[in-house]
Amino acid sequence: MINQVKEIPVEGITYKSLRVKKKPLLAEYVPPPPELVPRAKRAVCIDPAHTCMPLGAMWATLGVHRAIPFVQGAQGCTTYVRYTFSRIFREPATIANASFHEDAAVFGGRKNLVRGVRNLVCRYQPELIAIVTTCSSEVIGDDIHSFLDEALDLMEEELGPEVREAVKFVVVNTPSFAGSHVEGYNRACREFLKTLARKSGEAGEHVYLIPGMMTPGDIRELKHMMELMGVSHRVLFDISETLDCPLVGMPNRIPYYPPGGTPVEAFVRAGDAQAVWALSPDAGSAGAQWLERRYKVPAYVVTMPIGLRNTDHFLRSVAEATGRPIPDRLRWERGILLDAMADTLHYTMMKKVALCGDPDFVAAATRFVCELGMIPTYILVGTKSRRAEENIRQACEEYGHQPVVMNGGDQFEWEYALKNDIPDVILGHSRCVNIAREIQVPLVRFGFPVYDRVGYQREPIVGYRGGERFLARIVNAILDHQYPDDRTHQ
Amino acid sequence: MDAIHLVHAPVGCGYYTWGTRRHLGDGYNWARPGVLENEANHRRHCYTTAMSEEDIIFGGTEKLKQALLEAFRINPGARGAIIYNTCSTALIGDDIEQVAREVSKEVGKPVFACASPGFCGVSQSKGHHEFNFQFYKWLLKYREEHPEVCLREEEKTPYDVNIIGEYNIDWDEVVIVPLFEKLGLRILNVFTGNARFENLFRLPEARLSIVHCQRSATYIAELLKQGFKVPYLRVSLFGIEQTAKALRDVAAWFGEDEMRRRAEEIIEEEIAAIKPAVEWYRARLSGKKVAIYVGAPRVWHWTKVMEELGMEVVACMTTFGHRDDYEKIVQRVKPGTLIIDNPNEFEIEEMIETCKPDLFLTGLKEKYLVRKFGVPTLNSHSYEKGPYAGFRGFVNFARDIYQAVAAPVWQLARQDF
Repeated sequence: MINQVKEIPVEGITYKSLRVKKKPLLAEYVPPPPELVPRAKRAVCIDPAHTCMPLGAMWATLGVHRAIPFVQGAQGCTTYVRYTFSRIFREPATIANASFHEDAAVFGGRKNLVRGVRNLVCRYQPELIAIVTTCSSEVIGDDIHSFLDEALDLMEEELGPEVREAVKFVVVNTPSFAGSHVEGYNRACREFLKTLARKSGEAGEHVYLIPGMMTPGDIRELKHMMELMGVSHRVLFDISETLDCPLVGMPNRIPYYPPGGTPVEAFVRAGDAQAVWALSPDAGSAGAQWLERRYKVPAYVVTMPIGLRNTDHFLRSVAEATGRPIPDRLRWERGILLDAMADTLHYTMMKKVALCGDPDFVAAATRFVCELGMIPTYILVGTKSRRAEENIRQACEEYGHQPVVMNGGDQFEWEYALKNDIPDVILGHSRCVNIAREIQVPLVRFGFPVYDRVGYQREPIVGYRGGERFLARIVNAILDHQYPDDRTHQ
Repeated sequence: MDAIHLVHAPVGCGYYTWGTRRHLGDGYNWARPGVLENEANHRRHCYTTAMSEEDIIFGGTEKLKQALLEAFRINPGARGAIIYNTCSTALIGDDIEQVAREVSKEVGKPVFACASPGFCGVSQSKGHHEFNFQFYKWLLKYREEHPEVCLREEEKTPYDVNIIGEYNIDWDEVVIVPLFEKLGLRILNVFTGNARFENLFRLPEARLSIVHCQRSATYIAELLKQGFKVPYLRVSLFGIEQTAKALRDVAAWFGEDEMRRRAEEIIEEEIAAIKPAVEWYRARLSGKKVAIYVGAPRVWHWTKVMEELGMEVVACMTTFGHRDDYEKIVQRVKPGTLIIDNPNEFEIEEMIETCKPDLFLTGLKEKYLVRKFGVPTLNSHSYEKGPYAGFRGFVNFARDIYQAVAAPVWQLARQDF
C-alpha cells in the first residue's frame, strides 16, 4: 500500500461500521395538537431552556479564589452540576455536598451541614465556603444560619478561634422551584456582597465588574478592554483562571486548587469601589444595585457588550464614570469590527436568524444581529425576563424588525416555530443541535451551555474583538452551509 | 426507550438527565414529514413538570396528570410512560402512583411510577435497586390486568433469554446481542438498553436471564427466579477470557453439544479476528500501572481485562459498590492494591500521589482533575469511542487506552521548558 509509513493496528468497531438502523415509532409524521404548542397553554415542559438555581450560585462561587460551594441537598444536586461544568469547561470543579439521606429529610440537615462544613475546612482549608441551598433543604425548612453558627462553634473548639477569621461563609438560598440558574447567579452576587462587602472610608482605586455567566474568554476580553482604557479594575466571580487552567506548570500539591479567582479581599473592599458594572442585567444586577443602595457605589447595569453598540454603550459609561478617554487602540479594534461587518454584509444581510439562550446573551446578541442586517425571527428567552424583552423590542424597533419573542418559553415551542418557518441560521447553545440538524440549518453556538465545541470557552464574543470573532463564526457557518464553493472565492 | 420519561420535579432534575449519558436506542420519532429526529426517542426530548413555587406549596398531582396527558398527545409514538418523582415532590407528598393509574386507564398505555427521591439512598445504586423492585411489582400487576401483553404459549421457544443489566452504552448491544444470537438463542429482552415496553412485559417468559451488570440489575433477575423460576447466570462481557467464559457458561447451561460446539466456533473465529490487534496493543501497554474508578461491577470486570493487556492494577475505587462487589474485587486484585470506597477528590489526589498510575479509568467529573496531575484518563462510564464490550469491543477499548497512554502530550508536559 502506498504511503503506509507505519503498521497501524486493526481498528475495533468504528462508529460507521455499527450500522444501526433508525426505526420510526410511527408510520408517519403527526404534528402536535396546535393548542398544545405554546408553553403557556401546557402543564408539561418539554425541553426546558433553563436549569436550576443552585447551578448559578455554584458558577459564581467557583470564580472566587480558594472558594468551594457546599451544597445543602442530596448528592445529585452537586453531581449533575459538576457534570455540566466539566462538560463546558473541560476542567475540574470541586463542589462539596451535604449528602442528604432519609434521616435528613425527616430530621433536617443540621448534622449534615455541621459535620460537612467541618470536614471541608479540615481537609481543604478553603478561604471561603458558599452554602448553596436546594429544593429539598428549602422544603424541609433548614435554618442554615443557625446550623452555621453551630458549625463555627464546633470548629472554634476544635481548631482554635483563628478559624472564624480564616474561612468566610456566604449563604445563598437557591430553591430551584423559585427561579432559574440565571437567578441563582444573581442571588449569589447579592449575597456575596451583602455578607462580605464593607466600606473603609478610604476611596478605593478600582472599578468593579460583575460579568454574569460569561466564559473565561469573555472575561479576559473584558480585562483587555479595561487595560486599554487604563482603568484599574476588579472582576468579581472571575472564572477565567479557575475554570480554564494550564496543564503545564501546575503545582503538584494537594488538594488541587486552581491558581486564580477573585480574592475574597476584593469582595471585602467592594464598598470602597469607584463604580460597579453589572454586565449581565439578569445575572448580577442585584449585587451591583445592592452596593449602590448600601454604600452609594455608582452602579451601571448595562446590556452584555456583544456587538458594536452594546460595547460602545459599555465603554462610554466607563469613560464617563472614570473620566478616562476611549483610547485609540480600542477605536482601532472598533474599526476592525466595522471593517469585518462591511466585508461580510452580502452574507449577513436579510438572513433570517432564530435565537435561543439566557436572557442576557439573547438580548445582547439580538442587537448585534440587527447591526449585521440580519432579521431576527423567533427569539427564545430561556428565563423569563422583562428587561431582556424590552431590550430585544427596542433593538428590533430601531431596525424595523418584528420577531416573535418567547419569553420564558421552552425549546419545544421554539422548535415547532422554526420547523414551520425555517430560518437561515440559528444562534443558540448546544441543546439546539438536534433542531438545527433536523431543519438543516447551521447553528452558531453561544451562551450557556456550550459543551460540544472544543475551545468555545476561550473564544470571546464580547467587546469589539469578540464581536469580530463572533461575526466570523456566523459568516463561516453560513458559508459552509449554503454557498457553493465557487461563490466563496473572491 | 419507546417511553416518555417524565420527571416530576423542579426544572433542574429533568434538565440534567436529558441527553447526558450515551445510552442509545434505535427508535425514532418524526421531526418533520419525511425526516426522522436526530436522536432516538428517549433522549431527543426532556419532559418535566418544571414545578414552580406555587406548585410546591399547593401540591403538584393535578399538574402532573395534565402534563402526562399532554405529553401523550404530543408524542403519539410513545408506547408508554415512566414518571419519576424527586426530592421536592416526594417531600410534599405527591401521589404519583395514583396519577399513573389514572392516566394509564385514560390513554390505554402502560404508565409506571418510579419513586426515586434523591435523599432515599446512598447513591444511584439505590435508584437501580428501587427501580428493579418497583418495576417488577408493577409488571406483575400489569400482566395480570392485561394478559394480552404476555408472550403466548405458541410463540415461545426453548431458547428465549433475557440479557439483564446491559444499558447499551455506546452501542455495546451491537456487539453483545449477535454473540448470543449466533449461539442459537433468541433475545427476548435487554433490560434496559434500547428496550421496548412491549418486550419488558415478557421478561418472565424467558428460560434464562444472562446478567451482565450485577450491581444494578441482579435484583430483577433474582425476582424473576423467585417468581417465575427463570434462573440466571452471571457473566462478564469484557475482554477475551471473560467473554469466552460467558459464552461457554451459557452453552453449558443449555447442555447441548451443538451449542457448545457453536460457542467454541464463535470464540475461535472472534479471537482470530482480533488477536493481531490485541497483541499489538498489549506489547505497548505491558507493565503500565492502572487505577480504576467506576460504578462498581466494572471494577472487577475490568481488573481481568487490564491483566489481559499486561497492565497492573494498582488501585480500585467504586462509586457505589456494595459488600459483594468488594469481595469480588479483593479476590481478583493482587495483594497490596489500594481499594477505596466512594472516594472524594482529595482521596483521588492522594491515590495519584501514592500509587502513581500511568492511566486512570474514570468518569467525566474526575478526569479533568487528574489530568492536571499529568495522568492520562479514559471516560469509563460512557466510553470515549465505544463499544467496549465483547471481543471486538475489546479492540476499541485497547485502542482508546493506548491512545490515552501514548499521547505525546504527557511527555511534553513533563519536560522542562
